[in-house]
Amino acid sequence: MNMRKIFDGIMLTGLLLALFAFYGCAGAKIDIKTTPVKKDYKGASSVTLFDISHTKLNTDGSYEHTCHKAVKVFNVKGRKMYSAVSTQFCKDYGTSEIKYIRVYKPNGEVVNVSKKKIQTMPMPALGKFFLDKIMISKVEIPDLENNCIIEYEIVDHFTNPPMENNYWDFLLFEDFQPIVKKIVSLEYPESMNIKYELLGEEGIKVDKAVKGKKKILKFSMENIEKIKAEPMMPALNKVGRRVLITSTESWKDISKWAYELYEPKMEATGPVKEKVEELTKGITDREEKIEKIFRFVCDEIRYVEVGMVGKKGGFEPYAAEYTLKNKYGVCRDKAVLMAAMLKCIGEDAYVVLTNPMYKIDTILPISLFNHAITAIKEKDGKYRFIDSTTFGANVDLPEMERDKIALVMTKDGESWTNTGKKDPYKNLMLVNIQSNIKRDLSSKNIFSIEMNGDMAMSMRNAKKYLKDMDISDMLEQIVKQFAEDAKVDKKESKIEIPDDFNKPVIMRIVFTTANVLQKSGKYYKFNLGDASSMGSGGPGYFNLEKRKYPLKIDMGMVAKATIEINYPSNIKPKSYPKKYNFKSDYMDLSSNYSLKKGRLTLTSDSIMFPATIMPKDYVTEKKKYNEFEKNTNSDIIFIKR
Amino acid sequence: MKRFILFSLLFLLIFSSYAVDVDALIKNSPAKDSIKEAKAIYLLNRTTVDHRENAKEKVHSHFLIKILRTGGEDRFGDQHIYFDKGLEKVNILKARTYADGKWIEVDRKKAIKVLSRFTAFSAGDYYPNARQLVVAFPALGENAVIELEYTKELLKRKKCKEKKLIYGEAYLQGSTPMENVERTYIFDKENDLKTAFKNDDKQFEYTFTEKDNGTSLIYTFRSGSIPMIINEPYMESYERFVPIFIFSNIGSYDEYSQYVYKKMFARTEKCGKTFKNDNGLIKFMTEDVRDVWFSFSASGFSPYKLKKILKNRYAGQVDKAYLLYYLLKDNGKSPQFCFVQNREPLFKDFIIPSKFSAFTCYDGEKAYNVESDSIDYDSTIHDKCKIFVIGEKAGKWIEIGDKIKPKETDCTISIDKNGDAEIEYKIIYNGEASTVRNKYRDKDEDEYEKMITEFAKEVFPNSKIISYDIENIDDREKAPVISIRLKKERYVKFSDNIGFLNLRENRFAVSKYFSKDDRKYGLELAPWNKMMNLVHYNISIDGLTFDYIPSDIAVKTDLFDESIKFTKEGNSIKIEKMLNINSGYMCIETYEKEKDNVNRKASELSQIVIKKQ
Repeated sequence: MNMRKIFDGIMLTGLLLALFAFYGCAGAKIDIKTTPVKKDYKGASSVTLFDISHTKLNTDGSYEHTCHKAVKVFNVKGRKMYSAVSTQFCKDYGTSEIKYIRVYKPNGEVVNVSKKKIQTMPMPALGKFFLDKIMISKVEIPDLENNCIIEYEIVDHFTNPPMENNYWDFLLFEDFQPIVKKIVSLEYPESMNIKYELLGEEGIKVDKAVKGKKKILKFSMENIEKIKAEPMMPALNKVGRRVLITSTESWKDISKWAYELYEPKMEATGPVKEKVEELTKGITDREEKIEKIFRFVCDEIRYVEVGMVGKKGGFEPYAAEYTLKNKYGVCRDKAVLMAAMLKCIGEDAYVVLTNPMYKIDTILPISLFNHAITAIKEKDGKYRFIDSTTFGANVDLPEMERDKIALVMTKDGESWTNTGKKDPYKNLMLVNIQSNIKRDLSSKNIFSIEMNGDMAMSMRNAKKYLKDMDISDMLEQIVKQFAEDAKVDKKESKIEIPDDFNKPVIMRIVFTTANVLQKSGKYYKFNLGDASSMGSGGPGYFNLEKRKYPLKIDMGMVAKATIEINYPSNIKPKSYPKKYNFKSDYMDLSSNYSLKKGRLTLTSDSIMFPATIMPKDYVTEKKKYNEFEKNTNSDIIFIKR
Repeated sequence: MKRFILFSLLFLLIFSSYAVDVDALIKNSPAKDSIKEAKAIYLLNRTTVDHRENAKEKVHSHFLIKILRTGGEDRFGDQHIYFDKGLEKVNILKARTYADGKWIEVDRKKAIKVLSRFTAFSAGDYYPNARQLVVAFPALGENAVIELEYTKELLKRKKCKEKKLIYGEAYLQGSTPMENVERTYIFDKENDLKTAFKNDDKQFEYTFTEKDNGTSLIYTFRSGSIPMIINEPYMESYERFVPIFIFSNIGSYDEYSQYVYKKMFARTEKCGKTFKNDNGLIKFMTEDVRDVWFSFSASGFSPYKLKKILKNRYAGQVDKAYLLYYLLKDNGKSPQFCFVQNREPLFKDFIIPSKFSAFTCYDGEKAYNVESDSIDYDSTIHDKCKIFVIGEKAGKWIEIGDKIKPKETDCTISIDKNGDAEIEYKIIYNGEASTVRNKYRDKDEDEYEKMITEFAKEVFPNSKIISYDIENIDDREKAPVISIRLKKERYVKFSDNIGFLNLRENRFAVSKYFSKDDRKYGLELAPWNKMMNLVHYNISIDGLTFDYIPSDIAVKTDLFDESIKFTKEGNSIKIEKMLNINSGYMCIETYEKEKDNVNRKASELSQIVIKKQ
């Protein structure tokens, strides 16, 4: 026996194994010639050949998750989308590792990306989130050309579930690029009661299996067409084919779990009590006290996250006193402080989980919440919701957070509720145009807008970040859209933003111009007429001929416009908008006029309601609106006597 | 004991020469009513930047910022210090807030974080060491004061065989008011360094001194109070009026040319990749070698080997230029490296390489634009600019003329007696090809239909699309074209037999640049503000008459040229609208002179009136 040869053989094998381990599996697994080509997917920049993930769940809620994916890129855009592979993880919750990446080239060559190229770094600052525990591992994919396939595998070890002994998952089976095959499987102990629901259109297949003391659930779908986005469509999480999975028994359990995380932090310690006393000193009115506390938490505690606290960092808030001392925190910290302070004035206050981005599914108890607010339980048992993160808002919950699912955290747990709808009249905008025209057709004009609710919030926000000069420039630009030669009277023009948030924000522009009436031959068109239509959003809703997805109108508001034109005796009105009415489930429009000697007054009202117009109703609604629109005329025309 | 006392005295002496009475500064700080507009004010702003070769401490900065108004805490409450993890170290000496009569220290464990900079992400393996240290200050609100003092030290020196290039510009005024300002710049005494203090017309009180201590040169700028600059729309660049300390040890552009040449040709290579035609080469560079961006000079002009760049198929600007050079050479061209300067610096006597806007190649006829998103039909830099072509001994300035063609719009509208219209609308995207290509490429029919519908309804709300065509999105040699046929009911709405023709283009675009009445600063338009549009309307009527046709109108200044012409031909009207906006500077005096004229002309613009027969 030749020992030398045996030794060499062992060394060579060892070296090969080492190389294998270093570079990943050396053998090609995908035959690129058998994969789809661009013409099979018109309009697509890439196609996911397979997206296979498997989760091995433990009874404590920890798991190992493997994702194995292959994407074929067809063009520049596709290569850009898949130019890098990355994964993120939070050091407090586990790890995530890119196991291997391969590039299959059109000529059959397989390029293994060296693991040395994978960079793991802390995340950058994302807005006001400074989280050094969140890491990102990333690698740029080399040697990419059209019709390459990128294959990779990522393994996550999730060791610290937010809710011990529980598991949640939300699987979206659709994307903005086509997918050939998607398989998601869950292997879990038979002792765990895993429930699931399929939502959206049909197509997801479910298979079940047993493997010893484990059960396996497999969801799969093939030939998934890409989503073609439409304007004003609901969130993809709401319209796409999706699967909800949970091991949690009820919403109450989530409520209780969250309560246990939050409650210890809600203690109103000495400094918290002192602050409440200072803010509410001498105030007896309940609403005023609530307003005072709200204003403090909203306006004086800035929105910054400098780190995650506790074992369940990212879910667990900082203590009320800590947030008060630093005067910064994110939504959960502010919600806790708000609740603690409200309790000091005897309010039955709670912290609430919500998701303002879309109305989450409630069919199964899964925490898809991403925001925390505060609630006061009123005497009738109903909750009044307050969000102290929305700078510039009054204590009334803004439109964006209305009609969303909320989960109040209580000791015994509660089921979900709804944040309720807002009366559109709370977002009232009053537009007034008064034009005083002289015989030489020069004019002095007053253009004012009074904003309430969410409309005022935008102005208050702008005021926070802009200088007075910027706002003054803005007023000038608004007016010069309609009359380029306008001279703004800066002393009389202003934006009033009262400290009392229950009072409206008023923008008033006083200007003179020789051209409020634009002369076209013998006709004079009133230039400010279009200004009165600010706020009505009708035309933008119905651009498409038909829709696949619902049309979602989020904002409810009321806009009332009045135009008063005082004109001289050498001209007279020739044409102006007459009465009209339009009524639908989402919009009410009406207009009226009065003509007296030397004065033409036009009024219009528009009320917009949040609504969802389903695809089957869209064409009818579109037709109705178009018919109305083509028969209305907003031109105000004068002629000389 | 004696030694100890001496040492303590020395320490106190050194300390006291730098020591600042922070409490006094806070006590005597201005109230918000005395400083309009500002969200915050620097009560102290002291920075020393040491460029000396052997200096370990490169930067020492100490500042106090008082929050004056809501918004100030958001802007200043979190301080970011950028550094290179592999080369530098940041030491926080002081970080605290003064509020409600007491000091609150920043919790160093919880409120000081080291995170990546975004450059680390977009750069792949080029710049993973880019870091930022974030300090979040507690207890902020109106009248709170933050104090931050830090140093940036070198961990290790990069050995440089050749001359180290030192250059920069320090702008000594900004958009936040400042008090007690001291900026110190220290250099090794070398013959090559040239310095100057520009815009020294004393808009506010300051001193600027130069001190030679034998081995170093120390430049110090001091001012008790510097007012804030309140920005205006399209305002002239700060370079024109802010005091600037400018320095450079690059003697001439030729010297810089030699430096870059040497770096770029440190080795000779062969690429051996050929293409059938120029189009193929450009396509490869723009589509097959993606941009992985990092700061302009981060690679230090040491390009990777061609083999690596071709293997990666991604590159930063220097490596892309390097690859382009060899591809052009192998495909029969005579390329040279060049810098692009799309805005001429004011201080031409100083060589500041960061003033260049791009680095690419010139082949004797054109300078190339091979950024991945620039899918223009000829991939040249076609804006009017100067390029500096690199040579072994000397460089050469070449002027590139404007090759921009205008975006052309042709619109034919036929209006019947009810005011209903059939419309044909066509746009040829000569100048905006990249934007349109990126938007419209690789979509299917459904998506095209939605996009075209959205687009058409901006111009003609509530119209109905009959047909459309999108051409030349992928043809690099031709401008993209979008054509749409539409129908719009009641396009003209009649009231008492009279209707106005509301054309979108019937407004003066130039007016928006002259909307501000009380400017303090001149107007300056950057190269990306440039625009050339040509719009043709052909409007015909049936069963109607033209009751009024507006007069021609035009406005022309150095930067703007806009005109609208109306020509009646029987039962139709032709309208030609031309708009040219150039980049450049307009001083405040010229602005004031032109403003009223432009606005008056714009307000004279009227509309076509149509009457039922």
